Amino acid sequence: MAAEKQSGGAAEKQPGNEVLTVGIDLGTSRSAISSSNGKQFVVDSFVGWPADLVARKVLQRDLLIGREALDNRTMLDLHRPLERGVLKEGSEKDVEAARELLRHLLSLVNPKNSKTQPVRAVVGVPAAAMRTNKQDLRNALKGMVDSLMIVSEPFAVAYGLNALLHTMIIDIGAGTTDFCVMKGRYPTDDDQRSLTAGGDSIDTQLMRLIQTRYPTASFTVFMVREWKERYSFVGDAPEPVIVTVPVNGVPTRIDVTDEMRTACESIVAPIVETMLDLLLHVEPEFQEHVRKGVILAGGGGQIRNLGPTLERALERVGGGKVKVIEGPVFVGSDGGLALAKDAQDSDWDRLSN
Amino acid sequence: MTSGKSLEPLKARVLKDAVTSNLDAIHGRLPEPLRPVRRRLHQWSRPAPRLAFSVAVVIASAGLARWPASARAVPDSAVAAVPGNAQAALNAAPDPFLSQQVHPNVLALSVRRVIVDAGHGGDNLGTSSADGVNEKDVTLDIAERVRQLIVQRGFEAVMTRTEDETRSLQQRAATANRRHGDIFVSIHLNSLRPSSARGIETYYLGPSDGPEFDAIAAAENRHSGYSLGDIRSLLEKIYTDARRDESRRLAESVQRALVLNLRKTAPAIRDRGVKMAPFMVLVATEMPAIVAEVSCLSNEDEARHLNTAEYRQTIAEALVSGIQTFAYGSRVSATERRGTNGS
Repeated sequence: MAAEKQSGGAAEKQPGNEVLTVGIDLGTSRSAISSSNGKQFVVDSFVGWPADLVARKVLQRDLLIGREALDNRTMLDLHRPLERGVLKEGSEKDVEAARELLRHLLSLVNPKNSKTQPVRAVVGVPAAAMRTNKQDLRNALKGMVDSLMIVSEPFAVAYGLNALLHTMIIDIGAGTTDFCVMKGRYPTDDDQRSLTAGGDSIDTQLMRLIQTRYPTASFTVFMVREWKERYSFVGDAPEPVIVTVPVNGVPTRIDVTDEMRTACESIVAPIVETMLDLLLHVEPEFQEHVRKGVILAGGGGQIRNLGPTLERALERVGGGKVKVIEGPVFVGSDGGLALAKDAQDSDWDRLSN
Repeated sequence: MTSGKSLEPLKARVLKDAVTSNLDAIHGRLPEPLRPVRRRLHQWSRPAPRLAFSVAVVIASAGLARWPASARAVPDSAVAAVPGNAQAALNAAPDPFLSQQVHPNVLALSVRRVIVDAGHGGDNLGTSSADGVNEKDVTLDIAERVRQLIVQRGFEAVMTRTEDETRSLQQRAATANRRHGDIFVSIHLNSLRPSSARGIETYYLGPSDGPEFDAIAAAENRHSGYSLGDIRSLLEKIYTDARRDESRRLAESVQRALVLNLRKTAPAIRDRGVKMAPFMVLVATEMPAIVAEVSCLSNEDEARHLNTAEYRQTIAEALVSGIQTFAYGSRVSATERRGTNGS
């Protein structure tokens, strides 16, 4: 999904020295960029190099990024730089992939002057990546932009939504689900949690469940992912989920409603547990505020009926409200952009790379 | 959300914090640990959690004192400081979603493929008994028995070596990662001083519990193929990994099974427990991983037992039974899940 969205408000005021300010959401599955020149793009977080000489000849390229990389994956050495939420240990290719991804995002918003125009970037990364290898991330992205600030993704979301006090951001991404309680300060490790349950774990389970029920059907995890993005739900099925797959080579319609429910509901228990656990760590007098300020972001937040399900879970600790972010794609990158714009020149000078 | 006049100062404050946090990273400084000063501790009405919190912090700081500053992370023990009454609340009213039964096969954490690692091999003899039995031969024999049992019980098994060949720890870890094992079980035999010492112990990755375990880790790491610098940076990355919690559970379940089963044959055997140590092979594998020191070759009595196929089969069965317990116990309870939150 190399989707692009050119937002209307391009009349952002540019600083006199024509610095380009960008907010980037470097996600496990998709990465988005929002730029001070009004441009926004989202790409799949896949980077692939032709696997051999033949592939290079066929593809006529040295590097493929995003959807294109996914579509040609059989010919590629394919990398997802932040799989499971962290830069994988000791993998130079993954570091390189993260750099290429960032380079690509920057070139999308700034195709002409990418060499000359100074760039200031706020990059939001999964909370797990922040905790384990902040320094590595910084090194990995070194030299890509003139000034760089790395923040945890849920924090960027909170900042963008002005939800900085007594809120809980639950950002359900592909590799991880990140939780962050905002207490009117920059979140510490204590305010955050990260689960390895997310879109990917749903895909894996959905795949296994469908395989078990329809052993002769053939499909890939990429097909499963698309079905999930269209039909995911928890609780009562809004409609039967019928998909078409080849069974012994013949396109056949199969019903995967139950499998879809089971797979999607698999992340509910860990999310509920973590949400309640984080709530317990909030000072007692603010717990009610936080319960009423739960914000569901990320692709997984779009799972139908998930918001109400979490609200039901909150009932047993006194009730709360869960707000689902509509169109969550650019929430993180917009938040990053807001941070980038609000930061002072003196801050950026100190954060120069 | 937040609105009105209060928003701007709030934004300025979090922004300043964000910049500071980045500057800390640039200059290699640790973020202020938990920033406890700013926590409004005095407002915590219940004394018990406060006490638990401080105790946890003390334990944590003592335990981590040996570690290089950059490797420090918020330890699990801090997370474990959940107020008792809060825990009770979690347990009291089970959410329908918490209690639903899910077949292990559909769980992401379920175990299908077990990597069986026979310690040492080839030029790397491992430890030896007084009458010249080498660790590498015994571990291979047990590993093969484990493999057969695992397959019989419906799992898949991948061996890191199937014959007497030299393989570095790096190669073993690479095999495990390439074959996408769900868990990694490395089989070793202990050598302890004095020779009267004996027993079974199981390790998972972590800072070692004491210098004597450092020595064991150093011995097992000798042929790792990694430099000290590698070890350091790998450890820093892995240390807070959720894997550690799963590894600990696996270690506990295997240790329990070993002790229970082997005591039937050798009642005098000592349960040396589950321990943490920086074994290289545990650092480099991407799945929950343990090193099981299934017996002690330096002890005469145990060496004698190890010479019998029956005893080696008992060890294999115990290992597999421990693995099975872990596999079917993968449905994580509320308490255990908290640990895997990774904070």
